[in-house]
Amino acid sequence: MSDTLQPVSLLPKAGPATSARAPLTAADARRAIRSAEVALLDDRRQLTADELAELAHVPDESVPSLAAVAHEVRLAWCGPEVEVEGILSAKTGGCPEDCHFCSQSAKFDTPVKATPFLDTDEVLAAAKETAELGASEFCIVLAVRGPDERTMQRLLELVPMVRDETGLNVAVSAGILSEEQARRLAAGGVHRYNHNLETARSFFPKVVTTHAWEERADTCRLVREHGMELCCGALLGMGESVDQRLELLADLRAVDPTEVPLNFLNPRPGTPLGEAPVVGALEAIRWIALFRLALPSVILRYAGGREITLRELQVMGMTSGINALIVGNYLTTLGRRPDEDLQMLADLQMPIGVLGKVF
Amino acid sequence: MDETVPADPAGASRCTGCGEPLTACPGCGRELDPPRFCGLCGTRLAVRVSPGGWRARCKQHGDLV
Repeated sequence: MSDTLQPVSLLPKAGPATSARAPLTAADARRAIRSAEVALLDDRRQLTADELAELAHVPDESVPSLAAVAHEVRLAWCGPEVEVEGILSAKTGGCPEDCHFCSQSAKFDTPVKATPFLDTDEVLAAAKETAELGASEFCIVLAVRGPDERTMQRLLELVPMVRDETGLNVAVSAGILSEEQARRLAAGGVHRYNHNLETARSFFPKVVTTHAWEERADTCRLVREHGMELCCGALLGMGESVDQRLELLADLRAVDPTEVPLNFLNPRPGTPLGEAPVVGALEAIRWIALFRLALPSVILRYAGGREITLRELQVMGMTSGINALIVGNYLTTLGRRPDEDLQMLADLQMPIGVLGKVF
Repeated sequence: MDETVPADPAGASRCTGCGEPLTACPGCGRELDPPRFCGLCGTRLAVRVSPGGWRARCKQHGDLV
């Protein structure tokens, strides 16, 4: 037996997304990255689907170069500001939908106990916490298929109250909307409405069976038609392939969001994806960069799962295309301490600001 | 009944991740998860997570901090 040091694995092995295509050579990768730089910075044009597919296959060694271009693109298209947001699960658990990644589904036996809509005072207290952390946006999130009339009344009461008492822009995430509900929420002062596509249309039935991808796309369309900003996110690491991630990027382009929160799967006990491997840190950086290169003008927000996925590379994500983050805790899980994020932004000399889509 | 008890109190006999006795589960709670079960009695907790903190309440033992 050799007495030389052997590599050891300290963490569960991450599961990379599968692809039938081989990685590019180093020379081809340099050429593809340079071509993307010229397209987005000099010609100021969007990349084609073929160009994005090529960039998705640069070798791991080229990911830092890809990330560097994505950072330049973010600065050129969006500016240096970073938008900070706090989120609150105002109604937790008991959701009738079966999103396989979610600990709040009533279909799965998870440790999360269902709790009713929080009192107004509790929502206001959380919004004030958010404002004190330097955030400009506060999102009220409900674990529901869609809002019933009682929920609509509560939201329409809460949104102006939170805005007036804290000065924060107020976002809402309450599932699938009817046209009438979208109209009322917009009229009621909802600044941004969150409704994630989560994954590619072709993969969606593998992770959700209680509603269709098209229902999500319809709600996204209604949000925009009624004048709210659309926040439409993704969740990577559920077993989708590279091609399906590229398909998702095309889907996101089609719904034209103002903001894209980028989540990485944090496997939740009791859910069908509870034992899934987490996305590797460098793979996460690759996809942050690709999201920025595919969606150069969006607010690209660090969302759930970044702590366990990126670990020490969280700072690298900020220079790979990210220009917004959720500060503090998530809906049912904890984030890293807000002062760590704020110190990271200070160290990077990235100012905190309010962002809107650049047209 | 205590109104406020530590999330991981001295004398805890239950895993705060799954509620099982510590003899059966020495602790499966993950690093960035708040407690989900009372460490004293194993009852599922009502947990409110907010941007700046969390609060958990046990029907038997009140608020946990």
